[in-house]
Amino acid sequence: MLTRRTALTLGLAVPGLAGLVACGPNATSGGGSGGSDGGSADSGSFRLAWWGNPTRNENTTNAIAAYKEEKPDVTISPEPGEWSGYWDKLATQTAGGDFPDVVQMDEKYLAEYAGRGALLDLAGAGLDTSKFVDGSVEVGEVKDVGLAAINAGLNAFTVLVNPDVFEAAGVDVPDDTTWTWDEMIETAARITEATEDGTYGMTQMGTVQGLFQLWVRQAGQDQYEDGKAGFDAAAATSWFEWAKKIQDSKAGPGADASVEDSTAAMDQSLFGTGKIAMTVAWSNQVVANDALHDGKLTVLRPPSTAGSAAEAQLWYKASMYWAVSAKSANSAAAVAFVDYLVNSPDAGKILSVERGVPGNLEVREAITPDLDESSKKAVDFLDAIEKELGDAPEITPQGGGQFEDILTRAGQDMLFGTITPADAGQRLLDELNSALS
Amino acid sequence: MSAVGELTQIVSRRKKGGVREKHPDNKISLVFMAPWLIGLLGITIIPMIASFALSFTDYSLLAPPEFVGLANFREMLGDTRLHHSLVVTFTYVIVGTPLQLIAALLLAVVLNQGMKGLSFYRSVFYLPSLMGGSVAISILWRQMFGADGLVNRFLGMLGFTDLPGWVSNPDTALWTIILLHVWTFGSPMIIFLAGLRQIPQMYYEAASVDGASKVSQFFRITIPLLTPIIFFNLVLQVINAFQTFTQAFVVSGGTGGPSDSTLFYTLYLYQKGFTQFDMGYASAMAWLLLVIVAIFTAINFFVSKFWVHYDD
Repeated sequence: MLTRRTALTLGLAVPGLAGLVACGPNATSGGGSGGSDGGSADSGSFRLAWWGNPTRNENTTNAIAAYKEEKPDVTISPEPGEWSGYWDKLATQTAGGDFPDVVQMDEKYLAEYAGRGALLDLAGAGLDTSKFVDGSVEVGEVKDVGLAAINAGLNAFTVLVNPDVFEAAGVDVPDDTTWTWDEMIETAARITEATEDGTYGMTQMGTVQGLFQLWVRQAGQDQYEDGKAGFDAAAATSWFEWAKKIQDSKAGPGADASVEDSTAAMDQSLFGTGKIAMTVAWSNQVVANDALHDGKLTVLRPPSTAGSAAEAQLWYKASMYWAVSAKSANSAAAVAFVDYLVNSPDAGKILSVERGVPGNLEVREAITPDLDESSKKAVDFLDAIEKELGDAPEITPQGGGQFEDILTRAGQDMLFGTITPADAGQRLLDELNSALS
Repeated sequence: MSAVGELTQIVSRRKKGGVREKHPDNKISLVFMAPWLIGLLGITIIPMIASFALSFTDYSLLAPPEFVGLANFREMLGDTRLHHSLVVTFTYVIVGTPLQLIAALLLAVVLNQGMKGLSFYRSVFYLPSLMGGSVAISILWRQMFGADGLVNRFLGMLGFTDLPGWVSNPDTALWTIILLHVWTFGSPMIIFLAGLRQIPQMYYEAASVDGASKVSQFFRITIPLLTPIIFFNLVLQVINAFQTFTQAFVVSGGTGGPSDSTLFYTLYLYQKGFTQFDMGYASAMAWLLLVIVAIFTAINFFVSKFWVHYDD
């Protein structure tokens, strides 16, 4: 039988376990080896991290293999990942002084990492950018660092259309040079109506950062201005009202299904499984989405408030970047590999336009003739909108990386009906401002 | 010299007695404890000290920490998401732990009836405990309780319509995770089983002779004699539940969503530290959690005086 004494012994052991609570954060500061000499460009080993999808993983692995043939003394350890886990992992690795040598970087975290000295100045390290189209190198420059990252491809925001669903519903694909936001919802609502249960006209787009940015740009504002929020509460409120209409008019799925869809992998999402007629994506995602639909997708311009594509305020975004760790022990080899990725037509042919259309014009010219149909859709779209572009937006300031989470929380609360669109608009602005400060 | 030889020497020296001569034992015991000690120091004590120091700093992970005094703790007072995460966690602990213990106790009693193949059933029921905290089960849970998941298909066959996506609806998401927690009753169950085995049969025999029913035997013999074990399980499981992370992280995709309804304290701590680059604040949060768990444990010990019966 358990006696008081043994029970107490057990009991005393237990508070000790409580100590484990605090063991979470690994506190070692990012030491690592200095890496000042940087080693040789033609030998040594380094790590390469990227997020992506099956298509990109294959392309990138092939590019690494091709590079190894040119430089057999270089060893590259690939670390592919999914977008959702990638940033957590990178932050953890940074804290542990274990930052990969070459990383694929996103615009919204660029200032975060570069501003804190984690990234190498690529211009200073001798990366050749002479062949890049105007304006496509500057988007990787960060104050006090220099060229913290090099553009891996250009991007624009698109609406992806699954013509099969339109056909099944007997609805025509709208003219994307004249359509408005409301027409988009009306079209989608007709599709939902005309198809079986569980098939919808459009995804819930109210929590999509890129589309939100387009919305406020068309209202004459922008996501950021001088490192602060560039939009007002009224613009954000009207955005949430539009998003609510998607749900209320049944143009898109209800709140439950939308939340679930937003965390699903691309091939398991409603659009990926052919249950949605229209969704939004950056143009570099055309290829991967098209692969899920046997190359049948159509790429449209996003709608405009004015009903005119000329006033749609689209912009070219650096879809993603390549950056090199400031603490890399083999920075010379790492920079040489990045040079290969962005400047070599051979690499360009392997990587194609899956990371966006190359900013290096020589590479772009070299790859255009051999592009497959899916990739051509993306390139053609970028060409088509070139005359309609608005001004380039500011890059995301430190703290702005949280914006999408803030938008998602406010949007979900609004969609589940716990707050009004006006509350959501105000909250979006307040929380963004406090994240930036 | 072999280790065995050395041990014999130590033992023989010990027989001679004398406090000073005992010192060599201590040294060699350190060697034997080394694997555990190194783990304790490297994985627990040192990080704890570091996190205590960091809780007074502004530390972005990417740049060296800066001392800010009590600023992190002051910020907690006004952090509404932190308050919300405490509500979520308390709900989980206060609802989930008793349910889990009741499930564990009932199954232990059933399994204690001396049925055939006991060890097989014991393993089967223990299995969820081993896997429940794993990523795979959490993913399975998300699929099962999704809008188009197994649970809804089954309910659909029974004629229910308009079912929510249990994990994607803010009203139900937390409850699916509580259910997952209850399902991992295996380890308290094993401890209960061991406890039940130690209750002398003569009490039950005496009670049967006096005509006591099975139910009153359970409440008047089993439960009172089992209270030390119940208490032990309660303390352990409360501490465990406060630290729940994996399930919430995977089921919500790391967001704590929908609408922050599964924003567990540990998940918010993680977000602060690793996605918002505020490790100083996250460290301060870890210490607040430690204090909360300590208070809960102290309350448990205090209250135990009134309901736990020891055999001595």
